Amino acid sequence: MLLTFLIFFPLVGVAAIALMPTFGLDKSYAKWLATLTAGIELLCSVPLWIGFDAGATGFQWETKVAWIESFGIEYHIGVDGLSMVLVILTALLSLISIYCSFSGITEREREFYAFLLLLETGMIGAFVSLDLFLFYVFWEVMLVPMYFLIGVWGGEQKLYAAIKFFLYTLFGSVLMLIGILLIYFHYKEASGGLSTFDLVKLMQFPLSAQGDFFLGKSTQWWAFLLLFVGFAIKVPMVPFHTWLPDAHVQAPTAGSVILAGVLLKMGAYAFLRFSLPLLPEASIAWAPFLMTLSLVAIIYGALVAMMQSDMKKLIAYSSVSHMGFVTAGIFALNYEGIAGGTIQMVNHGLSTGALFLIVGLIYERRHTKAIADFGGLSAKMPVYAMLFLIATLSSIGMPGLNGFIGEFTILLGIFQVSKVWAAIAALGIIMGAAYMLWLYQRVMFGPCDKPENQALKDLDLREILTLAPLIVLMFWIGLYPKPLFEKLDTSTRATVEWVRKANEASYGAYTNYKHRTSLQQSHGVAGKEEGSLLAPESAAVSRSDRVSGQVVWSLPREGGDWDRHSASVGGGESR
Amino acid sequence: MAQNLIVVLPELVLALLSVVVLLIDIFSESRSRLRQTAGLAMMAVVLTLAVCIALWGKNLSGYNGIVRLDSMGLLLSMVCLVSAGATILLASDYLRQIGSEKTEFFLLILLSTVGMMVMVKAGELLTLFIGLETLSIPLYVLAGFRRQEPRSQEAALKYFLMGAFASGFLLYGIALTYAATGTTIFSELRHSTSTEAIAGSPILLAGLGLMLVGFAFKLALVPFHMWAPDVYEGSPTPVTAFMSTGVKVAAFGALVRLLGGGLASLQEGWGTALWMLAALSILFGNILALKQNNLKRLLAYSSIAHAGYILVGVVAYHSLPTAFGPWAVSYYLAAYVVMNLGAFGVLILVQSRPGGAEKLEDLRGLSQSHPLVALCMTFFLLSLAGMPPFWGFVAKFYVFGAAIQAGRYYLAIIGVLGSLISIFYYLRIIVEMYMSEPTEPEPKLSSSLAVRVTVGAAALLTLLGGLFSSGLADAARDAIRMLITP
Repeated sequence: MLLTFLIFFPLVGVAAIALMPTFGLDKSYAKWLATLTAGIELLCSVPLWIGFDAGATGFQWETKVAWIESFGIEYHIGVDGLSMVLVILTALLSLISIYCSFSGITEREREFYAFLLLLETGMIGAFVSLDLFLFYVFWEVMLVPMYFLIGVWGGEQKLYAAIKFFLYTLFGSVLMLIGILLIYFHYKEASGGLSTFDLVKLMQFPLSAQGDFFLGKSTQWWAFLLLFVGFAIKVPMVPFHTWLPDAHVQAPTAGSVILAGVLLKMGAYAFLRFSLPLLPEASIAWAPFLMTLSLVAIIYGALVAMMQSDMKKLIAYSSVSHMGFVTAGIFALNYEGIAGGTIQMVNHGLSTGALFLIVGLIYERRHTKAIADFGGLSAKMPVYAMLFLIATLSSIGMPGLNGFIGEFTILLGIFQVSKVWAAIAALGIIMGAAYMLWLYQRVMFGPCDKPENQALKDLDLREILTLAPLIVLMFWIGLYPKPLFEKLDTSTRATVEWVRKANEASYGAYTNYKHRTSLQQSHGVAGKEEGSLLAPESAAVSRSDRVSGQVVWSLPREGGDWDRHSASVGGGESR
Repeated sequence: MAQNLIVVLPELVLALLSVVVLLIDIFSESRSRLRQTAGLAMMAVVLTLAVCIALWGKNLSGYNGIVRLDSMGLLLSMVCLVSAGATILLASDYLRQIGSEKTEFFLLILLSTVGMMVMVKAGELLTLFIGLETLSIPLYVLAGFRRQEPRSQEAALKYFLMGAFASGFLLYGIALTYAATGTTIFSELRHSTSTEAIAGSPILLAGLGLMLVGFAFKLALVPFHMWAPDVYEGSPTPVTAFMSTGVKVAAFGALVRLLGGGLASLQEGWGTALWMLAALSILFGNILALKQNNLKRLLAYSSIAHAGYILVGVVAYHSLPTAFGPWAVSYYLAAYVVMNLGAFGVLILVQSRPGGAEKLEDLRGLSQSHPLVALCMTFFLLSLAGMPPFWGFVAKFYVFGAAIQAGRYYLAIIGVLGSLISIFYYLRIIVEMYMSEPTEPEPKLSSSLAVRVTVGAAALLTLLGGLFSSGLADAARDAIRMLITP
């Protein structure tokens, strides 16, 4: 019930805003109504975190109601660790994006806030859907409000950006729909006429003794490809990323925050939620390709970001690079990679959301986003400078802040697959530091010689308040990520385990898995060292193991079987 | 005897009632004759709907199988009646605005609807043909209803010539088919075409080809679509709405029956021809719509594309005769009728303002002056484009699902790519309504309650149909079960 409430409560806000003239309310109340709605929404999402049972497998807060019975389509919602965290992130960023628009949006306010709330419904719905059809519906519901947000309240080339955004995303999602139908009909055939779009039911289909998943390998391969296009466009992965800079540059601040903070997560989330569990063999087969694309995105995004003269565009390309980390982590297909990818999704939402807010603040004052128009702002706006610095450091992965935790864990994951890839990814971090610090330097330091910048006001209380929650969370995740890791543990473990099992059943202990083979070679492992890794850890300590001269880190966490999965995965061949 | 009458009861009722309407109309001296006749016609439609509902669930065949009363026939009859009713509601105001207060309009709509209802229930080729003619002839007149308007005259003439050609092709095809098989009844056709000698006969092949061309003309499938944009543009808008919905329902209903009942064993030749027609219609309909600035032409091309989507369902049914294909087709037809009528309703609303025309620019800034109308139009357009959570999405989902189930992946992919193209021109309208500032303060729309209610109801249905599609889907499924087990 709680989740249903979370999905549909923003619509109450939409209705209230729509009915404002009926009750004779002035349109300036729209923003307060929206803030109120989003605030209640955020408050109501907190019990998700508190009440979440980190040890329980499967989904929690499940609701299941038949919707279109003749197709077995159900209104089936529920959360695990992954989606729970993302739901809360969505609620938080929605509130912030509403609150940050108070001064920026002066035209057609009612519609603006109504669209933002509608968007929130779509996003939360997509994160909690456990039925493929329902997921698709919410996935598309997100599209329309965002299109309007860019198209009505955007910058000079808003129409171009809005339509590009819409067409790109829709292109992916219609192919995704065909992929979903493909899965549906094959399940129907394999199960002797059962029709369902339910993720849980689809996953429960027994693996036969021969290890044939209900989808044959070639079908999986095609279904993965179809879903991949849909998800990759949303992430966006290179080469599907070109809509992103346009959309970001033209979107209003709130739109950019939501786009970067939540919408981009949708693609990565969908890989984890649907591609990996439903198409495990194809995921493994495609993993090297996706890993390559991710690494290209990391490096290419960073290089292009470095050359940008527009602040928003720079941050947009940095998103491409950072989301490359997320997908790279996911397709390392081991515990560290997936856990790190998930954390990095949250981190990116926080840090990039904050950066877009920061650019929005200065844009409202100066009506320009060109880096060359600024310089030496730190003297005029000390509070602004400090917050900007924290967000920048968070984005480049400074230890002590959230970005470090995510990127480091991902690197751990990639490292187990290939040292070369890990090195390339690490290069991306260095380049990230370069372009972000250079941006900061050009905007904040040096002489403040532009006359327009002389009279800039520092942030007022409302503006600080929009940024404050993000800053607090950055420190929290950076300094004490344990609770977050714990909440994510079970779902991550389940995903890794599922992929491993399906793959083992089908290929017989990974002999065909290039990822693993390359790992074996690169480590040059012998049975003995593998054996030592295979031994389950029981102490809750931070430790480091030496494997063939390479250091494998493990983060401090309780339970201590951090390495078990990666190890058993890694050790598959030698068994 | 009694059973025969029951089978054709809805058509009988509607035909008799239209005569009654005609008589009352002739002898009426009321000053508001237009309104009165519209009301009477509406009552006739509602009564016939009630008869259809009362007959729901029956599965009868009458006159030795040449007319069939089953759920699919009833369902599609009701869809036709809804289309007729909405057209009557939309037209009453429109006629006054164009200064052509001729009450025959409503009568012709009713008669044409009788033809449609015969067509979707036909169990035999000549009945099908009679239904088609009954449907078409009133429409020729209706297309030219704005006699003073040259474009309307052109539309009427074009429609008539093309329609006559189509009928000719169809009739000749029927004759050849009869020559080859010795029967025109679907169930017997099915029997006789399953023998090798007849199935391979060139006469039958020619007959079927000609019939297909006739259907393609009527449905305005690419490459037989040339007439559609001109006719749609020139005809009075309510007539266009009627043409683009009712006629399609009737022709598709008949086509499904013909393929499922009569020619189920002839998959090879028809299958290829049909899927090429579907693919061409989807691609060309959508691509040609991209550049249209006239809303009626735009909707004309969009309706060509939609005919293509529906044909995808027909093709799926033809290659894998399970209940799913016709189910998807009927369901799509119902959704399409509602959303398309809604879109035309908005068009009529916009045309109602003084000097209001039908160009894309005329919608500029509509969201500011008439937020509700703009919202309704957005619903219709997004639904036509196949966006969830609207009805059109569920309908497309079924149709493409049927194609995938039948193993026709490429058709499904062409279909979704077509929808992708279509989003572009539907968005153009939304852009005009929401993202362009009105050039000058637009005069208020001055339309009657009837039009507003029709548009509002259609918008509500478009949304609710998507959200609560279960009941309708089940009804449609029942409809098709009956068809599959004759």
